[in-house]
Amino acid sequence: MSDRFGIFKLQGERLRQFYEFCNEKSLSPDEELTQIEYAFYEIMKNPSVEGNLFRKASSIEEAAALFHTYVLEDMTGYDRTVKLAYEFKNRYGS
Amino acid sequence: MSELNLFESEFYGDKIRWFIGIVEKVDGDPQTLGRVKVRAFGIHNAYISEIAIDDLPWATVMVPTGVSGTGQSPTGLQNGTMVFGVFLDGKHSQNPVVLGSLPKIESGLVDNITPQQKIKPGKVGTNLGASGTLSNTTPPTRSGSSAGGSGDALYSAGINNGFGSDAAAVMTASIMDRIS
Repeated sequence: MSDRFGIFKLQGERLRQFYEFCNEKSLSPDEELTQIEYAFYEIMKNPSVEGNLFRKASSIEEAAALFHTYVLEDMTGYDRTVKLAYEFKNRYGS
Repeated sequence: MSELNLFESEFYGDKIRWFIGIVEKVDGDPQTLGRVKVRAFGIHNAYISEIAIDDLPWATVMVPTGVSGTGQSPTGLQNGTMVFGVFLDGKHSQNPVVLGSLPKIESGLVDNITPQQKIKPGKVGTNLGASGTLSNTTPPTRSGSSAGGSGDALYSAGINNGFGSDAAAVMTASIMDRIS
């Protein structure tokens, strides 16, 4: 796992594309904000992470499963993600 | 010594503790003194489930001399404002006073927000601002800032880019959990 990078543990082709994204926009890959921006970019633009399925998920559990499967590629922490997501939805959702 | 034992010393200032935090609530002060609820970085946990907004201490807001502070709050503070202040009771940290607000550098996640979107009463903001959105057609860009994130900004960014509320909440939770 040591070759994984950043808060989303990117590796392989996704990591290469992330660096390409940073180069194109002259952003520092080490900055968390850059990594967050790339996560949004990836979900919106890259069908390989099942962005549409994620965006249209009909429940927090489904969204969390998709996010862990396709974005994080790791189900570790799924329960915590679900718990926090409910909290954020209650906090910010109208 | 205060009857409420809020001060450790007769000489206020001997053991004060300064803080930087985010305004979480600007209305509802039972004493109508214009006090606000502030979540102080490093002192109050970021998650509402662990420290609810109502459990945060009311912070008196210092106003310029000549301003009575009576009636409608003259402080101008809004939810999401970053503030600097001191706890008069030092380590007990139950008697905060806000001395001023701090300008924030908004990230690209909030570059496209409208004034109406920027203020979202009753919601919580952190160091990205009170609310935000991404462009509907292009990936986020930014003007540059330090790393950090606002749950409110991230959630709004997701919603404004066609995420369902569940997806936006999951995205927000995942990111905030990793950068907190």
